Amino acid sequence: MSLNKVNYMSLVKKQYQFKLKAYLNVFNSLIILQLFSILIAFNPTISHGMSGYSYHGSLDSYTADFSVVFTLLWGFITAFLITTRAYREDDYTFVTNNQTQVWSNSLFLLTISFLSGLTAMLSGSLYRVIFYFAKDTNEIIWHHVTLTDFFIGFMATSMYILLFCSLGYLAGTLVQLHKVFVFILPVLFIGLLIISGNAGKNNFLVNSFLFYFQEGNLILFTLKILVTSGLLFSLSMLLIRNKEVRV
Amino acid sequence: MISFVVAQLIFFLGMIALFIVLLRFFKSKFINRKRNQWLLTGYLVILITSFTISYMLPINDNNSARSVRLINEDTKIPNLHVVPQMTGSIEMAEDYLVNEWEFDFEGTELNIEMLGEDIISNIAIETANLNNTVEVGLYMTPHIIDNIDLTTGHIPTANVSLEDSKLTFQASAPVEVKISQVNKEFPIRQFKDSNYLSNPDWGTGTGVYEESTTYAEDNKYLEPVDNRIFSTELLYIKIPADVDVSPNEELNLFFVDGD
Amino acid sequence: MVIETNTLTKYFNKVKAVNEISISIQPNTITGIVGRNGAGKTTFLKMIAGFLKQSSGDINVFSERPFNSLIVANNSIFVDDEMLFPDVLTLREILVEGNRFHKNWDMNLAHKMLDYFSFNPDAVHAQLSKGKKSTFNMLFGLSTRCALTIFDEPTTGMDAAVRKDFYRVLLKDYLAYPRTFLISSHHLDEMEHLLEDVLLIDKGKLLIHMPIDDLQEYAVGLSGSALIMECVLKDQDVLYRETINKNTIFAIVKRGADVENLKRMGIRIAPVSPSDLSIYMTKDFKGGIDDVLK
Repeated sequence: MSLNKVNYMSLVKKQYQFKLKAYLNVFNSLIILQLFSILIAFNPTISHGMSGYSYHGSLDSYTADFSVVFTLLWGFITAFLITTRAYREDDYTFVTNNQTQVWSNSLFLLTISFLSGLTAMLSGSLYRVIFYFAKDTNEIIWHHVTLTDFFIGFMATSMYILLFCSLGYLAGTLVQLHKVFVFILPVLFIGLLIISGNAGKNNFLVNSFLFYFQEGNLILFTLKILVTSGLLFSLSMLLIRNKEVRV
Repeated sequence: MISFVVAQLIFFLGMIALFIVLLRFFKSKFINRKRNQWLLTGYLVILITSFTISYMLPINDNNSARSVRLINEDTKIPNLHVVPQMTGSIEMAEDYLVNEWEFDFEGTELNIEMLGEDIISNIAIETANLNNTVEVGLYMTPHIIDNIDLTTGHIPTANVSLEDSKLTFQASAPVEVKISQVNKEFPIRQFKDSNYLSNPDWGTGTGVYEESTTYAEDNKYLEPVDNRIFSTELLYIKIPADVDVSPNEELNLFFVDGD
Repeated sequence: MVIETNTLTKYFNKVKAVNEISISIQPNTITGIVGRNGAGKTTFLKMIAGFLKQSSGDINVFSERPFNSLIVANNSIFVDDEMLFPDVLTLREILVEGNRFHKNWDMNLAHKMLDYFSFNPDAVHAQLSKGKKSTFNMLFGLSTRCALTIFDEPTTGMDAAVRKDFYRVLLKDYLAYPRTFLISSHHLDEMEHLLEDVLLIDKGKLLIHMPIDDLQEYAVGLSGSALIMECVLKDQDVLYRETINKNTIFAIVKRGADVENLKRMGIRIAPVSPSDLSIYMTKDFKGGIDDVLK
């Protein structure tokens, strides 16, 4: 019997299409999270009270930021999940190897970054609509989101989600390599937080955070994230290359 | 600041725990693919509908009775605590004249008295070329947070009277101002706002802001602290040359040259 | 040669699960892999499938190292009871995916078998009973028509009727579309008629690798009085012996002895089926289960 040849790219594409169907469940949790985030967004993020000569007042600031932040977390967790045994071994029932698996996972995560970025922004619209009809005897200052704003927000949010996905994927890969990372990684993270809290301005965590967060040019920002995510996924691919399956 | 970060961390961890619980619940019974698809489509439909609606709502312009003025970042606001002393007059702050009164006065001595709880302890007295008249001007600079002038349209009224040689000043009951604002999400602000990092809404502590400068001694203008500018007020009284003002230890009275 | 190994060894912690196995398997054959639980059969097969990496030694499948190899993954299928299918897909959808990934996939065969074994195409794999799962996995594996098809104890939970059907469809499909089959099973006696070669593994080591016909003739069972047996067995290649009671010894020896002579001595001779042979050869010589009940 003659052997069937393998076209690398077409295999990755097949796996990617497979995952779009097989991993559909991940969106369930996204919906719950985003609806939940809209709910808690009705608490003002900041309340200023002020008084001066012959007036008392308050300014409550609201934002739909929570949608974005929760979606970031969701991205991280989803990426982490697909490195776990159940998801990994699903692939081996069909045709795959360690490298093509990382490729198709990355493409999948890229896709859900954009999809969830879109829903995050749209849930901001939902939030505003509910706010308009439900809230407030106060006067409301609307910082209206124009269509351009929406597009910018969509791109930026999707990129942030992609970054968190690549981080989650790397974290998951490390844990697959050795269970001990389940303890090491959170400890490391919290340790970094504490050190940064005490270190003042020049510290690694804040500066790397600002590297993305302070970038005012959308194109540069997109580039930064694409490169970073690319590197993180490549690192994951490198680390996982000798991992056995179905042990 | 640190405890705030820890509180946020705990909040997020709690949320993650909640999310995992919900995830478990969802995984158990609803796996059916058809139901899944309906759920997703339904959600998308709701989202897109609200998206379209949000652009039809009149939330682009302010639809409230009292419109709130937005202050341009470059606007410089005079510091009424120092302007009279530094410049010798109130000309610089003429835009901020809120209310004025004029009285006929023929006496030679003037006592100034403040009544009520809201007291202005910043009173400048200028000896001007006035004939038997006393002019009182109330100046106030806006209270600004997030470039929003929260004191828009607010004209503090007061009861001012001059009897015998007593000039009494009493503020009327305070006005209540309540404003809500709905901000854009941070990924939008990152690319549209220039100083979004110092927006206190973001709650990032520890050295992310630019260093807030303290009130410079020689600065006539107010400088924002954490993107906020507090209001200042001043009572500017012009008296005839032959009038003396009795000192009052409770109030901050000072004399100003005038031009 | 489709599969070739040379002193293939695999450690799990400090235990040798596979101990220096050297074999070669010809293409388009059906080989049965036999041995006790924990003998190392599954580990051995998983290395062939490319799931596990060897600790030492060589292994080549399709002239390539199977671990991480796309050629091997593309042209082989490993079927066991732990095969994972995504929760979200129905059986029908799984078959569609099988078709997308495997070039030789026969959708007609798959659907016919799905029907025959009374599956609901809209059912979810995770919710099937154990026996049904094995049945589905089996029909999935057959439908791929992969050049190398590996079944690791595929009949777990299957009732006798289904097992019979499995053997039948396996044989027929093999004859119509020849490929290399590796089947590990505890039911060697049931499968004897469809195997070509047999591989016997015990405690990680390769004991026997030969065509089943040869295996049927490989050994004989001798039983007789203790005194005579002791005499006779000194000259024989003894594979197994057991003291039945004070006066009787049962032994299995390699064929080649003078049968007529032995009969005259009063020794009873019986053939040993490959199934029994593999049982006896892999026993730890500590007596039988009867000893436990004494």
